[in-house]
Amino acid sequence: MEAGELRKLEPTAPGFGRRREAALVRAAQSGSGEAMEELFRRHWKPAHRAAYLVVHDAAAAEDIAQEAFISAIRSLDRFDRRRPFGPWLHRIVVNRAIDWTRARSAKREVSGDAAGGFDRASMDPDLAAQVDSGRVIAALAALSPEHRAVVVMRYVLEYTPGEIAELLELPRGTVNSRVRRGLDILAGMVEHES
Amino acid sequence: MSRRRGDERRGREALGRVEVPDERRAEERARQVVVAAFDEREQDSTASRRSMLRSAVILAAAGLIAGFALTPAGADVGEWITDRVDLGEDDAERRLWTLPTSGSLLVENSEGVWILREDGSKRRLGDFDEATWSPNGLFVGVSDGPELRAVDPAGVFRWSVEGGAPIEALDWSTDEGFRVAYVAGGELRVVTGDGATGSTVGPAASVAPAWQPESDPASAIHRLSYVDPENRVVTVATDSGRIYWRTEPYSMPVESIEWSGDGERLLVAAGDFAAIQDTRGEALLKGPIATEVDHAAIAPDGSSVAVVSAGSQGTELTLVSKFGRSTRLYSSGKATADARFGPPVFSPDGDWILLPWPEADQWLFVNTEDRRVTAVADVARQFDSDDKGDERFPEVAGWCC
Repeated sequence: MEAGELRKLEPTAPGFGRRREAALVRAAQSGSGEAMEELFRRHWKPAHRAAYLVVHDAAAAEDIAQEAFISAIRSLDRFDRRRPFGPWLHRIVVNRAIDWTRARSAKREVSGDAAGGFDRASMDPDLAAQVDSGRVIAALAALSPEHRAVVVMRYVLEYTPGEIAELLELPRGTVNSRVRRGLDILAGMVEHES
Repeated sequence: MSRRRGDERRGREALGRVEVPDERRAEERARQVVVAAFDEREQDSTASRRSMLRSAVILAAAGLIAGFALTPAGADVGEWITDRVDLGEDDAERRLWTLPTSGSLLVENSEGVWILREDGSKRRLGDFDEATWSPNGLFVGVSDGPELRAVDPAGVFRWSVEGGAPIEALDWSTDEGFRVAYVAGGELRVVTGDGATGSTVGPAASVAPAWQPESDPASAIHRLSYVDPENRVVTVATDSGRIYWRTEPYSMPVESIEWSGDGERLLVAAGDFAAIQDTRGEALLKGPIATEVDHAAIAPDGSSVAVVSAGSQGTELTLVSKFGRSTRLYSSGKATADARFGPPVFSPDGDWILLPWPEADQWLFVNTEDRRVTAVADVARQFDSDDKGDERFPEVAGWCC
């Protein structure tokens, strides 16, 4: 996927239509299945991708994004329609992804599993694209899940540092330092490749 | 600044190049699940709206009978409705993703016995009645009517014995794990941990017996405490039959007994009070350590007791030290019949207490040091294998290692 394509998915990008989204949420609250499906179609990919880039496990990412949607559905009646749907969903996804990664790390210490921090089994070495993905994932694996979450929110979900600070309830300085550290890691990987 | 922009562009592009495995099929799978969940919610909402309508009609009729005024009894109804709506923690998670500390839970409901692991994964062991952990969590003792079985945490059968009568209570020995005690047909029996041999200790009440942890497992005497039919707590060496001590009959029915992990203190909950005894059966404190007790549990190190009782701010969870000093950890904030907690369960490290709240359908994990609370909602549904939402609130049988 090209970066330009990814950008099209962003719910906060200009032209996404916040009014349209508010209308969809209102319709879903009133019981419209079509509206719910439209919300799903708009938000699934970024949520799923964000979860994967934090947890590095395809099955877990699918579960986490799916559970986040279900959680959102169950809380739909309480949702404030004046607020955008995406950040609400992304906050759930990212926090759950962090929790899942922490839990798996704790288990790994006990079991002595020395896996490289990503799902190697899902990589096919014959496919250059997957090797490329693997390199990025391996570079991200050097970061803590909390750092990864901030990097993903900044460069995949395209939130500003201020928005990330608010969504994850972190000091702005912490967000900035995590973004910087993530960029250093990714930039180091790119330089190493070239 | 331009270098940073360049880094940002490259970082964004690198992240954009990552391929999420099986992305399209994952989306379709998720779409189906989400649509189904939404449809289910709609059905629930419709049912709920109908129910509210029915309630409104009933209340309106009640109002007419009462002359459109809330009598004291009517006021109670109004209060009850308000409290039902407000029960539980507002920001509870809808699913238990992780336990707050290490170990696994044994959970019982009408579908049987479940194991819930630290990472939130769970497994139904089978359609059993009651369960107990082996000391290191390597096995689970389960009862199925008159049959006592040992299974491993994957549910694989190991051995079984027939109790001759429905098994009412059981406990796996805490030292080397070679004995399981159970009550069946009004008798206390002990079976060796391979199911090969068994013996009858004597008549007993239907209260789970409690093995006294040994300070030196190599010279284990296998002391077992239990409640006899005269409502006395007895401690006996099961191999020799020697009785170490026996209390006077308690004035109220003993409901539970529990040894601390170091085997130094025995918690006895009887009626609405709780007391602590030492290794000779003597009360450690004069009188009960707490009164108006609904439930109590002793910390693994024996330093304190978690007590659920009615207090000034509704139902309360209090930590009572061995010196009798009380610290309130959590309060329901409502003095209603629905604001009642279930039995508290300590984590193996003693840092957390699982506090069940059946009417709110929540589990609260309360930190014993800083009183932090992590709440999980929809607990009954999480142990409902057909996901019909008809499962009752589960009970926690143990939190092991």
